[in-house]
Amino acid sequence: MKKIVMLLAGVACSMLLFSGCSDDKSKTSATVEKKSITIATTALAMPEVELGIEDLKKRGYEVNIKVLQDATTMCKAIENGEIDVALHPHKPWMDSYNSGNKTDIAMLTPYIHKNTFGLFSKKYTKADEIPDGAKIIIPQDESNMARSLFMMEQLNFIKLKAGVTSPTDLDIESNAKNVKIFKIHVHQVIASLDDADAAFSATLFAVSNKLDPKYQIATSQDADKFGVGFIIANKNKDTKWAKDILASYTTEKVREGINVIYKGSSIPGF
Amino acid sequence: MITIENLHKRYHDTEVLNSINITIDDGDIYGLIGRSGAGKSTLLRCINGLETFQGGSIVIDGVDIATLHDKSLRELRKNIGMIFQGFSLIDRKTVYENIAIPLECWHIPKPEQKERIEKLLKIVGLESKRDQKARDLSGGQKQRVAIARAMVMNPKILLCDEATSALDPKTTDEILELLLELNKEYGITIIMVTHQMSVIHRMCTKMSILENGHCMVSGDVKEVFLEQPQALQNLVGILECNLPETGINIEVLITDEAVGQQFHSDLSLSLKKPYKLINSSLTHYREGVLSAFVINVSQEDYQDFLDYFDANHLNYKRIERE
Amino acid sequence: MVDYSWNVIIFQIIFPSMGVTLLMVLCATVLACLLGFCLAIALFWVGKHGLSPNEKCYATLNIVVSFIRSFPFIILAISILPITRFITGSVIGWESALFPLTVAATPFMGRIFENCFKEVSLDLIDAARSFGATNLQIVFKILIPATLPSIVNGGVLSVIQILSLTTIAGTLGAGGIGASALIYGYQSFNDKIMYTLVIVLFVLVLAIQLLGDYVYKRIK
Repeated sequence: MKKIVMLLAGVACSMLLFSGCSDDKSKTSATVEKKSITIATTALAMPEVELGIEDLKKRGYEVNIKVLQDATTMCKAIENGEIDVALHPHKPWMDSYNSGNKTDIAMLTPYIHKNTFGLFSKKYTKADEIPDGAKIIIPQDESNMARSLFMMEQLNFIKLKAGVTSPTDLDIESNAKNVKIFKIHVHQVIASLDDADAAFSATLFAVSNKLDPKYQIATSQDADKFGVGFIIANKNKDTKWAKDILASYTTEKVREGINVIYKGSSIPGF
Repeated sequence: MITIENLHKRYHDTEVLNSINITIDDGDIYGLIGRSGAGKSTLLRCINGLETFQGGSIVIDGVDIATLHDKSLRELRKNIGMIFQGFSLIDRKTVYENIAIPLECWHIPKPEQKERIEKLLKIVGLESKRDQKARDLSGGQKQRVAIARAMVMNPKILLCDEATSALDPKTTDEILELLLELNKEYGITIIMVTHQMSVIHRMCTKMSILENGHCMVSGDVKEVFLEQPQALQNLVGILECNLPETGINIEVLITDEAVGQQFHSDLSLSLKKPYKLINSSLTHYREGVLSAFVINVSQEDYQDFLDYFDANHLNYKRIERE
Repeated sequence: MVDYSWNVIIFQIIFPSMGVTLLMVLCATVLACLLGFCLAIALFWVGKHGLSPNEKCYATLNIVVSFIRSFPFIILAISILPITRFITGSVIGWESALFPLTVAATPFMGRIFENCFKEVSLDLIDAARSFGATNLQIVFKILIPATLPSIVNGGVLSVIQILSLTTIAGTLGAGGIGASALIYGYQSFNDKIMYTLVIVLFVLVLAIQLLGDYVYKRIK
């Protein structure tokens, strides 16, 4: 056993060393006056990003858009200086990424939008109708899982260990309702709703799965904590161009756009 | 008895067998010889229905095999063993298990299986190898196993497709010896496809020569060698000697061994005419020895030589320079 | 990121996930072996040098096999969700994951077994025909006995393939070691858990390979 632990420790150390290496590659660009901005986002958030491009161009920037698969890729690209900012992950995710990878990526405030999150069910209309031993689906990525668990705690389904900031199902202290938890990929949660008693999900995925809004039987009160803003290398967060990006994306036009695009599953964050 | 009449087979547009007529009697050892691609293997495979044909008929003991399907065809095959150039054994199985496969397929009870297999192992001389895996055997031993497997259903006919082509001369001899023994002992009809003339010499009573899907010559091996038809010459290139430009060349073929040995002394003593010996060869075949001489005589003496050959009933032929 | 103790990692992650993984791999292997085997026989049966060649049948089977194999597993699993629900009554849990696993692994195994059968010399099949074996007897008394070691080798490949597919099946709620490596390791930025579980998977793969090699040597 001890040998295995040592081996693992060795592996873990070398991984940390690896991830530490790539930090300081692009320190040059900050001082020179910046004329071109590269924004990354996902295909899903593309319409939102498009809302501000025109205004940003008016401020004299050349704007490049890159569509990337996921938040981790975006963070790596920011660390490498391949992109300047990205709009996709929310604040708690960003924080846990930073602490897990010892990186220094900041999120600009105010946030651009906030994701709403809720409990969905086709069998029950109220959270307290959900019976003991119910099958409950939660997303399996860290931040959505944590959000689900916190909401479950609010609904008195479970009690979490005290002081855990980003819990997983291993941190459940007591399971009063004895619910059976299934961890499923965030994109598949709503599609699997028929096979469970209820599911926790960002409202966003209910909308993209065209789920009737009436099946959302509870909404989390924590939307403020889950703001989505532009992420940026910490050293760049006070530059003029960063401020210009914020200015272009906190307009009335963007606010209206967000309401139209997300149909309430995300609300403007400014 | 196997009667093949006017057999035609096509692959797409090419005729691979064309008007084949062959009769094979019970107990014969019949040789099918030809260059590769001549159609001899295809013809062999038509006999047990591994290949189909488009025209003509093959009748085995009164049964037209074109009328057979599934069950009846398999019943026919039960009576026709077959061996191949590549032995076709399951390498990871033992000698015993390999020979047992046909018995398993025909649901022969285990005790009878054992009896038959052990008897055959004795015949093919592999008693001591009974439980060895096939992959550990030599080529000759593998072919013996294949022969035992082919014989295990007590067939009346054995088809051999280039059965000795992968073996060295000594092993070839041993396998041929074994086949001759089987033929003698059990009266089994053997049909041998080969490209080795020595196999025909050694084994066969009758033969056919195939060329491009046609059967050029059929008959007793002895007669075919005496007649030296073009097809045989094409196959063996019998005139490999340089013929002189002057005089007349005569080839003499003698089947009687004693006569062959005396030929030259008799010829010179009786005729007292000069001649040049251009080539001579001895071919051992199943029922004796064929002596072939090529002599060169002058124009004036030619008729005297012919008279001598006629008087002594010798088989001769004038041959021309190419 | 929560820094879980080894106690938690071993008893709350590795042990339960291992059980699910082993069950999933075992059941999916058995199912995919049986079906893959039938598929391979079918492919070989109607194939060019097969027992009863049929060009159209072979082309059709060939296309179906290649079509399923071209699907990335996650997309295949999502595309057949309605069928999965119809057959297993649900789309979550490891029992339901067996269906997409089997669907994905069957063509893979079918191809591997087909290639095993193709190794058999045509003369050997002719020999079997020549002593009157039926097509089924050729399959069971010639093809399979002759290629058993290759079949075992191919089987080991397939089992390891299925093991790696279970990781992806885990994202659809099946659980298992691979899924835990993703959930508690990769997605939670917890390298300790991630690489521990990768090592567990490595040990599992090694064990399967060694077992396969042992069986191969025994039956060769």
